[in-house]
Amino acid sequence: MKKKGLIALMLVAVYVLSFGGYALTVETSAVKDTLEVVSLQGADPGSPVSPLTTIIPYPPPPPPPQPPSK
Amino acid sequence: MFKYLLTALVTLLVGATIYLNSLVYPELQPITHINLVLYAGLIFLSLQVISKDSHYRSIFINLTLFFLINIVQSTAFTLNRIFGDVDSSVQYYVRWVMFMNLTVLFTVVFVVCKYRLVQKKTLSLYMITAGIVLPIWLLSYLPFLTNINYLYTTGNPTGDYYQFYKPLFSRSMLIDLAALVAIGVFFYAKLRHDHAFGYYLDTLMFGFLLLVSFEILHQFSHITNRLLFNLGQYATCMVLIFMGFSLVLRYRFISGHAGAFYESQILSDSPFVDHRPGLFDRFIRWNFFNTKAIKKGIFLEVPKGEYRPKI
Repeated sequence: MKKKGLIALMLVAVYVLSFGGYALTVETSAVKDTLEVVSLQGADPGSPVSPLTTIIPYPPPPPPPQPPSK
Repeated sequence: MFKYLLTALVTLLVGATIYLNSLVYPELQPITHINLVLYAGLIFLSLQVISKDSHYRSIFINLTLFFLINIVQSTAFTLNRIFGDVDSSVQYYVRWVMFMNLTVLFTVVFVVCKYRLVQKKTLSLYMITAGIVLPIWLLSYLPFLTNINYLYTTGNPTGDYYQFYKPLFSRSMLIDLAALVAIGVFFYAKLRHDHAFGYYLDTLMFGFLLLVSFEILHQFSHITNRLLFNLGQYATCMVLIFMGFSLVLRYRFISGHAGAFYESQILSDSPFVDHRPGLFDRFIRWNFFNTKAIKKGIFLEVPKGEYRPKI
């Protein structure tokens, strides 16, 4: 592997770590909740809810106890 | 004219959605809104490419539809929250997940078919893609298609979001794995056969590789260890910027005379033309290979007098 390749991989790693670090800083409380609270149910009401997916930008809605009859 | 009109309409739609969300959806992360704006920007870029591209227009039409459907669904979901029946929001969300995964798989498989089946016409490619994608999609989501309230029949408590949506995400993972396999086939075929394909389309496929990989990572973590990621939309943001970058590069390339000429040359399938275009390929070549040994020019070195350009 050429030296340039190693440098490029290192740059990518630094970018990913910086990006992850920034995102963790911004989302500290949410990540803490995520790691500590097993269920979303335990999170504070009104706190930002994760979409849980990368493609759909909205979080899943809270399910009503019963499905609609129609 | 149409592209500007559609872009204006989409921008208006995104603006209205963000405004309404600020009123009725305070728990949404700001990154969700940033991504909606990025989707609108990508639609504009994709339409610009469509207006210039003749050989690969269908790929960018699919891409535009993918972005557009996500924006329209977002707006409809917000409107459903304001005016609609809240009880039906789960069904709405299930449909949204199912159809977005369908569009991702369709877009990716179409590119693979376009690459592998060069001689086929666009309509045939659409039919072949549908023939591959629809059975996978139907089989994966069969319980949801027969009963939209399937999540209620699994016995998972409705009070626990996590458990409740687990069957939906585990089945979505099958679709995304199929998309990952298709992307793998594309890159394998590209390295193995190395025949002509549009400039920067591999870069775009690399964007899809990132998007689908992050999605599978989320779903896998959801299914296995109950650890939820809150960072998914940040990953999406990064991927969308990357896709935008690819679209700008493609637009710049096909807009120029030299680019248009080179594209016609690689499509001519001349043995004297280097068939390894694209940012990803160049990145790999530049970093990991001796470019002097494998030739770095657009045209491969051939003995004098043997090259006959096909225009």
